[in-house]
Amino acid sequence: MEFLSENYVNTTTQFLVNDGTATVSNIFNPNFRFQFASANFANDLTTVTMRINFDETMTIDRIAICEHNLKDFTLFYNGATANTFVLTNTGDTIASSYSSNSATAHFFRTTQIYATSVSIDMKKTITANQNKAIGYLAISKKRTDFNNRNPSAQGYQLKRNPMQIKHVMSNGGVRLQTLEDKYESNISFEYLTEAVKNELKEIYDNHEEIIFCPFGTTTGWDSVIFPCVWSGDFNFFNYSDNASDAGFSGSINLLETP
Amino acid sequence: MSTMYIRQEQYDSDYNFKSTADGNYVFYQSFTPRSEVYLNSVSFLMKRSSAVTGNISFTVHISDTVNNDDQGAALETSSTYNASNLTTSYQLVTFTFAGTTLLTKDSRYVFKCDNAHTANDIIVAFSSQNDYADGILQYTLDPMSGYEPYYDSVTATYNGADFYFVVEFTGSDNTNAIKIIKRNHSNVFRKAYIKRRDATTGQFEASWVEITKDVKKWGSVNVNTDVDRVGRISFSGTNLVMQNIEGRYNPNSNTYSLWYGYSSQQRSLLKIECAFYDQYQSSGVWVNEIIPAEPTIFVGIVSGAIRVSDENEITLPVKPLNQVFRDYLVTDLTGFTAAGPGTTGTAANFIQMLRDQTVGGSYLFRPFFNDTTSYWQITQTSSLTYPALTGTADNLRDMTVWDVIEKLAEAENYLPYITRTGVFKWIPKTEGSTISYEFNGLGVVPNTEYGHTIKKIEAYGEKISDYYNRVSVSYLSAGASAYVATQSTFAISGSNDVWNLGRRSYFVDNDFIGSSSNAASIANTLLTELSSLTPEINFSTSLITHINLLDKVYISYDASDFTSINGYWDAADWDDFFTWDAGRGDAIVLTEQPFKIISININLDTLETRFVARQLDS
Repeated sequence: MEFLSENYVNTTTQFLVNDGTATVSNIFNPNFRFQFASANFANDLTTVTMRINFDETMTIDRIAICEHNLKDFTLFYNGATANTFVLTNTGDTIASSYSSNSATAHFFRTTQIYATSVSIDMKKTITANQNKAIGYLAISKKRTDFNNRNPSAQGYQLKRNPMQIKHVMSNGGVRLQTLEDKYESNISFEYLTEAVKNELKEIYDNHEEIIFCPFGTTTGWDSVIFPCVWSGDFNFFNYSDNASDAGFSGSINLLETP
Repeated sequence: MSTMYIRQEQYDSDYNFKSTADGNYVFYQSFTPRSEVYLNSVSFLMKRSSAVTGNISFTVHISDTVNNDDQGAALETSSTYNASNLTTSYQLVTFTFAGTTLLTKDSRYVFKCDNAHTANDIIVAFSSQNDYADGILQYTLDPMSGYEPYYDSVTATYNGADFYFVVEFTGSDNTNAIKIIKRNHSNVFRKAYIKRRDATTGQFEASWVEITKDVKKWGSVNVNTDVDRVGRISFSGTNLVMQNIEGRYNPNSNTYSLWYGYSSQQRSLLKIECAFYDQYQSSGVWVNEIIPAEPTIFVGIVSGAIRVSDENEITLPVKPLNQVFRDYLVTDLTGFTAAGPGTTGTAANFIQMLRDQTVGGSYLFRPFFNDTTSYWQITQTSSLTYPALTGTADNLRDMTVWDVIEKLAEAENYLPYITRTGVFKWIPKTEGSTISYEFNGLGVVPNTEYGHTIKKIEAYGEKISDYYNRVSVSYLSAGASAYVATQSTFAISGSNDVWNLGRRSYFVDNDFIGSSSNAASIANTLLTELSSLTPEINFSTSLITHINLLDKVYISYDASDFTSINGYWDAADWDDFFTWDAGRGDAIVLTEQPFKIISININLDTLETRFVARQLDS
């Protein structure tokens, strides 16, 4: 369970891509069904190359790509194909390069690097010869992983809140019109270390947008990841037990951003 | 793209064949689409008897409904197929069309093949209205095989379904809208954009800038006609409540403002989109198809006080595009002649004059209307002229351009309508010639095509306040006021409206009219329009965005207790069924009653559309 910094990918002017330019803005829209998609590269012999530039050198150790259809692809940084990311999470490969992938979502934990750009070469698709598509891309760094801890089952709630209009029709029937669905999560922890408490306090005090990824993996990932804000109070000052070194307890309410 | 499997019970279709002057035979296959569609392809089962050469193609025509042959020129010609590729076994041969020919709902069309072939050549499996139970008919185009069609043992399937022939089509925008509106759970989006003006040139930037993520409250947009007077059209904009945490909506002097480096926030263009989207995967990629394809429901300008507060939110006042005509005095226009506006002095001439009005070489109004003449749809008016409408006349002092437009609209019985996409239309107030939508509500047998869309009927009945049986028109004759009047005949009679409703007089004060004959013509036109006591209906629906003012629609609604005579007793007469008659009472009972839409209000927060419609003769 991790909090990440705000997505480094947030404006279309960061992108250089050889096809599908009109859909580039979809790649940082957390609604995965709005995808970046090439328009003229439905051929496994052609490669879509996407480069995302940053205004300054960024620290990167987390990358998420969701709702994609890529079988053969490579992620690298600073424009050199040899600069693949070294993956630190247990997965099916140790480098950010796949030749026969079948998963449609990946959450990569990587060795921390410093880069001014990240590139993706999209070569082949899982079903051969389709246009290359990615529903969501997040490039970020870890803010906290709660010291590698997960909350208890009672301490973790996640739901999708629909923004929905309910029309009661003249015969009493109901018609629904949904504008968007947004995540909301409530997390509570006990016995957190002081270091983690301080990490959380800094995130809270910064009043910044973060990315929440509860259980990211490189295989079989459920793609739950969303940009959010910490709503409400900070209450991790509470001791978990009658001893000052027992750790701290508190809860967090996370609401997805627009 | 959808596929239409032609079956007799679903789609009227019939074959036909006849000899032509060249001694060859023409093959016809008619069909009737049950919704408005674009034609993409047609496929037939075809084979040959002996070796053939040359190309085969089909044309599509409007069909004669009796003989099922072609009426008029081809709407489109299909791709060609090389006949030498046919074999002696049936194969599916597809003929493609561009997908741009619109076929209207419930109209009969016919595919026609008139390619010259000679002996024992091409056989096409085809359908007829009599053969459904017997499988597929075939007919050879070769006259040597005889004229009569005969049954063939061919049993063909396509994608698992038996078929006679296959038509592939794409639903038209209207068809897609009808389908998604009735869907009981659908996706909707709202977006807002602005266009700012250059600080130096005063011209609008080329692209829209999206501001959707800052909108906290959307409000509603409204357009209606004949509000308080004939020809008076009212538009209302909305007040968008925006979050202003980053100061993006501060005045243009503020460096955080979206307008920093641009001209004033006032009179910036603002566009609102609201539509459905249909999500599906195609070749591994999610498609978000916007329905209707043109999602814009409002174009207006920012106009009014924009005040910031310490609550980090501001209200962006938005007015409809007719505000640009309110913001300009008619006396400041150029282009008047002795005949009045423009060259001939008609009302349409005045509108054209507005369209082409320039100041210092730059267009005055056109930039607000997509900066193109195609956003000005001006229907020519009658021969009425307005010689007193000149730029210097005393009676124009302090009148805005919009004031004059309204007076001309009243005189001409026209509508100065700005569409939801920002097109200025100067059009007669006649309703559409065909039904563009059907509203259904309580008590109606479920309508599979349009579904159930009425939430509530708020009011229904004759609107006496819109009824007049006398019209007087004041005009200017040689600089002096004069007037003419016309009125319905008065009689003390149970069928005389004046006796029943009282004398109700409508007064038109229009100094632009320069002759009694013109004034009389206007009076007669208005009396015809106003002297009919017509019911109006106010009702609300789930979100519907593609209906326009003056659209002709059907409304079906039955709020009575019993909707069928198959009840238990007969209140009126002891007939042999001993059943109740329908208990109607004062309930609203409308069955495919035509109406003309005269008011549309779309609430973007509740996604509800409210209509007012005026009843038409059935």
